[in-house]
Amino acid sequence: MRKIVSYLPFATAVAVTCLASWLAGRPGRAVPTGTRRGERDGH
Amino acid sequence: MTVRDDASQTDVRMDDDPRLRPEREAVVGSAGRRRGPGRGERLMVPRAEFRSYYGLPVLNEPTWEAHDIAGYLFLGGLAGASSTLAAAAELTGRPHLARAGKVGAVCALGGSMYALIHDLGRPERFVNMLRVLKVTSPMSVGTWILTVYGPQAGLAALTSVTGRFPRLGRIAALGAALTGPAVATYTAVLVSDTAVPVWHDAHRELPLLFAGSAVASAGALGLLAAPLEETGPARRAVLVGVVTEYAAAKLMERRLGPLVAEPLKRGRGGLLMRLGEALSLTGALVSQTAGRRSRGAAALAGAAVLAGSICVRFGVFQAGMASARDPKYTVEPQRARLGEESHP
Repeated sequence: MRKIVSYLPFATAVAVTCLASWLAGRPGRAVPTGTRRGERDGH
Repeated sequence: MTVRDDASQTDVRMDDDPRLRPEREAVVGSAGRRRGPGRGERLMVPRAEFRSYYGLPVLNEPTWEAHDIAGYLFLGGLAGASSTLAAAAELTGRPHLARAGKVGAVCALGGSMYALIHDLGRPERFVNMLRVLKVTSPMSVGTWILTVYGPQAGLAALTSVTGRFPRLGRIAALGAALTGPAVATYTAVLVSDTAVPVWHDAHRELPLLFAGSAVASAGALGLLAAPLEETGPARRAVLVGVVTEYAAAKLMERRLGPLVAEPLKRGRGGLLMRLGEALSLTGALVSQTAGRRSRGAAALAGAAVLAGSICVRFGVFQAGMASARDPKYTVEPQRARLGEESHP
């Protein structure tokens, strides 16, 4: 049991990486593409 | 009282040859050969068979914990290769894949830093490493690589998520992409530069194996996170990474020979290596077929390759620990090398 618990931080790090990456890469989310603030989202 | 120098020497000559000085120049065994075939010098003790002292290990097994160090090897590789893939995606107009890579890299870096500091015991020990740069120490060079890479990866992710300072973000992303490969592979040098037989003897192939594993895992993260129309570079990364990882592992096993490669084929290390190869190859195959059309299949392939890469890193780690525990992996190759030197 103690050995399994010791792997929790690693498993959490992998899970957080995957989740955060997925949230960041979602197609529904607007991605700023312009080089100036005014150019964002095509404006 | 005068003592003659030769009084302490013996007149026994092993070869009965008056030209040879007693003791020093006589060749052991030559007397037997001169008496004719089949009558060589008789061994007075049986030929030695290796046993360590009470079967105790010759090497001190590293005190590293698998979840810290093998976890660090994997997460560091994932972070470094993700930064490079993110920069490539940004330069080729794939913003979602780029942002997924940058955010994934900074999270993986956070996890790897936690593992590293947990292994060191106290955070100050990492800071203390920055007092010097020693180019002959992989640990010192690695600390500096992480110090250069970390802020750039963080800045790239922050600017990508907030949308602020895009030009600065692009410079940081390119910087992280350039230092990322070093983050992904220096760990191979770090473990090769130990006396642990499997890691040390694999010093030629291990960086290649780690590079392949890192590229495959970064591609896998891209498959998991990015929309299907942007996953082209991630699929290619998975393919190149898995093939490199597999080829390097096979080459390593072949060059190490049957004895030293044994922990990579048997026991916990062997099991993890086989499982990792199976998962990675299956994931790569799915990513190149159904993963091109279906979002679900691409995510499944990504998860399989990611799991495969984890298994390979933990497998290499466990195989090294097993080779340090058993003295035969240390001494028998040494004896074989000695034999080769004395009978070229």
